[in-house]
Amino acid sequence: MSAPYDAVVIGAGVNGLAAASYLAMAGKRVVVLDRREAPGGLSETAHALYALDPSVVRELKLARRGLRFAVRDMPLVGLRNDGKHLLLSRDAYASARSVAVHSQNDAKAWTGFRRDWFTLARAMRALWWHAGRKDADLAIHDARVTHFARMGASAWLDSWFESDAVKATLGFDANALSPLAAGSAMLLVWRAAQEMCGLQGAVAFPRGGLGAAIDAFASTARIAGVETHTGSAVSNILLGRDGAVRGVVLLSGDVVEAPLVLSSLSRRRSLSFASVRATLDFGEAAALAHAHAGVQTARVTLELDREPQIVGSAVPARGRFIVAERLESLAHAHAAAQTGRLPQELTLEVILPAAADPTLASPGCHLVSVLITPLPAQIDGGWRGAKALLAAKVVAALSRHMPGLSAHLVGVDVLTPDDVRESYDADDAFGGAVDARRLLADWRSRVRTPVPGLILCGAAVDPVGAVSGRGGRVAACFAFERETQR
Amino acid sequence: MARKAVSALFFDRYPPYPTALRRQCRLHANDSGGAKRGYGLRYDAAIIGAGAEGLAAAILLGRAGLRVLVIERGSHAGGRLVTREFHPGFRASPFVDDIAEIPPRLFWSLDLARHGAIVAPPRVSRAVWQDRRHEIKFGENAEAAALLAVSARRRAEIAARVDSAAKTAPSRPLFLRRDPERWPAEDWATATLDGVLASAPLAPDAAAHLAALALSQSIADPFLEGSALHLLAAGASGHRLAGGPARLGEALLLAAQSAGAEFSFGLEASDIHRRNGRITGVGLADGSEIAAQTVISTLDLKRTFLTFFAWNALPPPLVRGVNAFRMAGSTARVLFAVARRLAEDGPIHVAPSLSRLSEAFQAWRAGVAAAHLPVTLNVVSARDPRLAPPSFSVVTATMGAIPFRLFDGAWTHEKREQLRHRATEALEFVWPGAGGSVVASDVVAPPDIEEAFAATDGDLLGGEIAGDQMLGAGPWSELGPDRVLPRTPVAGLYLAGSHLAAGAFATCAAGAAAAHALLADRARGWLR
Repeated sequence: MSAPYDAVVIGAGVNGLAAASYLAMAGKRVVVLDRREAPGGLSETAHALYALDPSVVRELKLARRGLRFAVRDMPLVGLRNDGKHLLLSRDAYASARSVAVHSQNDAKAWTGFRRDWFTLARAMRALWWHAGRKDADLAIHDARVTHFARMGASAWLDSWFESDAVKATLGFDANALSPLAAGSAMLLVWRAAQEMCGLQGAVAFPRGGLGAAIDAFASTARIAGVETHTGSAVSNILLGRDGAVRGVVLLSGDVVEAPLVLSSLSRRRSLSFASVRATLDFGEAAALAHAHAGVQTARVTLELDREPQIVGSAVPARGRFIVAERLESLAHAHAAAQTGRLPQELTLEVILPAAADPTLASPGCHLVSVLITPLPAQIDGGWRGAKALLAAKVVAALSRHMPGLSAHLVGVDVLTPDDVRESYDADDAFGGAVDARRLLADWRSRVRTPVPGLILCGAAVDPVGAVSGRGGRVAACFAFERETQR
Repeated sequence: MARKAVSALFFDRYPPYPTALRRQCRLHANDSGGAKRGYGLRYDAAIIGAGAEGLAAAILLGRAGLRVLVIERGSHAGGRLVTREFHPGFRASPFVDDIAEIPPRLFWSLDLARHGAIVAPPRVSRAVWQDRRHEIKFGENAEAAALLAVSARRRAEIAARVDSAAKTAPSRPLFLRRDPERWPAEDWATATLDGVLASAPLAPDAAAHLAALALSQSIADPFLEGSALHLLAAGASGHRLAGGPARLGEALLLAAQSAGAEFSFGLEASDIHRRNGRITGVGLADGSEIAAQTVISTLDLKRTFLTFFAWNALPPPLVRGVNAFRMAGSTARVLFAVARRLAEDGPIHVAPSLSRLSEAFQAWRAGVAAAHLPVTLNVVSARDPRLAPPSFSVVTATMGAIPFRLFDGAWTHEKREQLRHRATEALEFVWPGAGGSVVASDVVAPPDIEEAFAATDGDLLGGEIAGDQMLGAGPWSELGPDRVLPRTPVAGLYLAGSHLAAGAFATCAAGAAAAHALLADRARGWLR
């Protein structure tokens, strides 16, 4: 590891690997350092692909490295307590028929809403991830964009729909903020702006699970010539006399020298390295002190010995199931999380990985993967003690829709917000609190830090809260731009 | 008919005409009365509502030489600026104690001082908690002053911007890109109140006091993004009036009368008539019609569009936008006649903590009055001794986070009694023993406010204070750049209610903006 490198990447998550691959493909000598034993980072905690950037897939040739999809477009299913489940698929008319069960007016409004929603989302793409394009700076000045940035998801959905079923099911995707908070309408637009497998706003499931997708990124990096050192935690960043980055110091005391450091940690954690913090001016230090974490998420994986049966109206097993009865339940959950309590009514996203890709589970074994958000960062008595309670609440909430679930339960795996913090060195999946101002910030200002040579490349760059690889791509764009300017 | 056409032509050609002639015409019009009202005379503008905003618009238009009629359904002018005797010998304004600031330039241009209105900025505000209290002396307290100054500057900038947008009739750039919409308080529109207060160099008590000031008239969860916009209200209100609010109402009425405005009392406006896309007049509740070229409505946005027009008369996107406009009525008031001399000037906020305010917001959304409500107590008789007999006082309690629609039905007598009880508790908390010396009290619940002012949901601010509603062009921002508040998509109809930031945090400003917009459009010849 003594060889001089052109760049060091902290964190071998999807974004870190993508950034390293881009740099290595341009002929740089790049090393990726990760504190854990295997690459993957926070991507291991995701349970589907929401936002993999099509240009990353194309440019890194991920398909050639074995990225395949088991399901290209998982329909959105709202599980309702009354059994009249809501099925929102790509077929606008089938969706409208499903909506009509809940409200005729909403069924009429659905196609118009979807057109409005998707059109605005396409317009916003230019701003969000076409790094380096001229019109990225123009989109922000549109009056409608600023209007949306100040609007709550609840206000927007209320203006279109009247039934709780439609509003709550759609509103779950704006869950990085309370639906009552200004700017959460923008998060819904953000969701619809994603493109998966050439389909706008789709959610896909990779063949072989998320692990296979991470492997594709890792092998791309390896073939591009990136050195990956796992099990080597970075303890500090080495700054030169001129204040620019000179390299990183490992926990073992070794020094890795490089003029460029890309950090896939959140902005708060990246600027909290002792040497970096000492260089911040008052305003930046104050902003750092007041930065709070984004919405907290937990994962519960249930293992069953029987295929889970969903009662009520027929729904496809390959769907993405939302359990949120009303928009108010989401708002209440956020308020509870704010005050450090477990919400009365958990709001969940459920996926059946074994139904999506039968190779994932051994024969006779079935999986239910549950994402619980929002949750409090700290809880009375600590998350360790609340683990069993959380799992019990999840099983109770799901038993309403999948009767007999507890009788067929073989194993339960719980990943609490505390586990995420401890093992992945991240406060949340979003790289810090998401708000409208962050979503509308110029892409360069998201990447840049006050320290020359230190660039962010993780979720902080692209606050999507999902595996995207876009953070790495944008950071690499910035690094190249910076080099040509010299 | 021929006579009407000729006279209309004449007056349009030669404004301003001699005052004597104008008086004569008016006399004639008023005498004709009944269904014939307005025959032979078309008003240049009909103003619906004789509150502060309506009167301000009437003064400005009348002075510009327009024939103006103010239509008021009540028997007197003033709107919320009234003083009522709620118990023999005890008087108070049932709805407000003090008003938001009148922008200084507007105050002088309305000529209010000559008619007897004297407005003074607030001096002091107190916040009381279980174990401690905090005091802000406006203009002296260095700690809170920085944030209050920012808030005041932003208010002034917003008001100036709304007014200048009204004065310049918008051009219609068909292919040009619209200017970026940057509003002075834009960063507050997406920040949390808690976050803004935490990042300002404030002691915890001062921060909590500022939060109580910001949320004393409106409702928000201080932990939700967008709630920082309520800081615009901090220090905006509390402007004291010599002689109470009623005195300002009188001054406005006198000024409007001397500017030549006419008044119609006792009949409610019921609809706005249009022909070929132009406003032709206002229909009154008795079936008569007043011919008018333009209408300024001081009612809120919802009320204006949903009651004055037939359901199919407006384009669907407009109706959807208006339907989606959010109202947030959240105040109730209790007036106390106390057999004790209390002499504390300035409001006293019995302030819950930020997390309690958050809980109160959640409860309010669910239609429940929370366990801990923000209450503001005001000894109105300390400012104006004429309101109570000697050695007695009048105290008002303004309670926040009171839902307009209760989850368990209407506002019954028992629920009003509960309000009275909780206000008495707050009174007792601030002045121990005062609860026992209450002679009489009167409860004003949100439905009462709605009934008194036709304010939807009893919301005196005219809508929820949120960035997408209060900053920017209003619900029809998508319809095009030439229709920006106070202009509306209906040509010739202007809104002067407090539906935009300028109106919610400044008195008379919305009326003035509507009047200026109307005059600018006339000068352009858009309304002929």
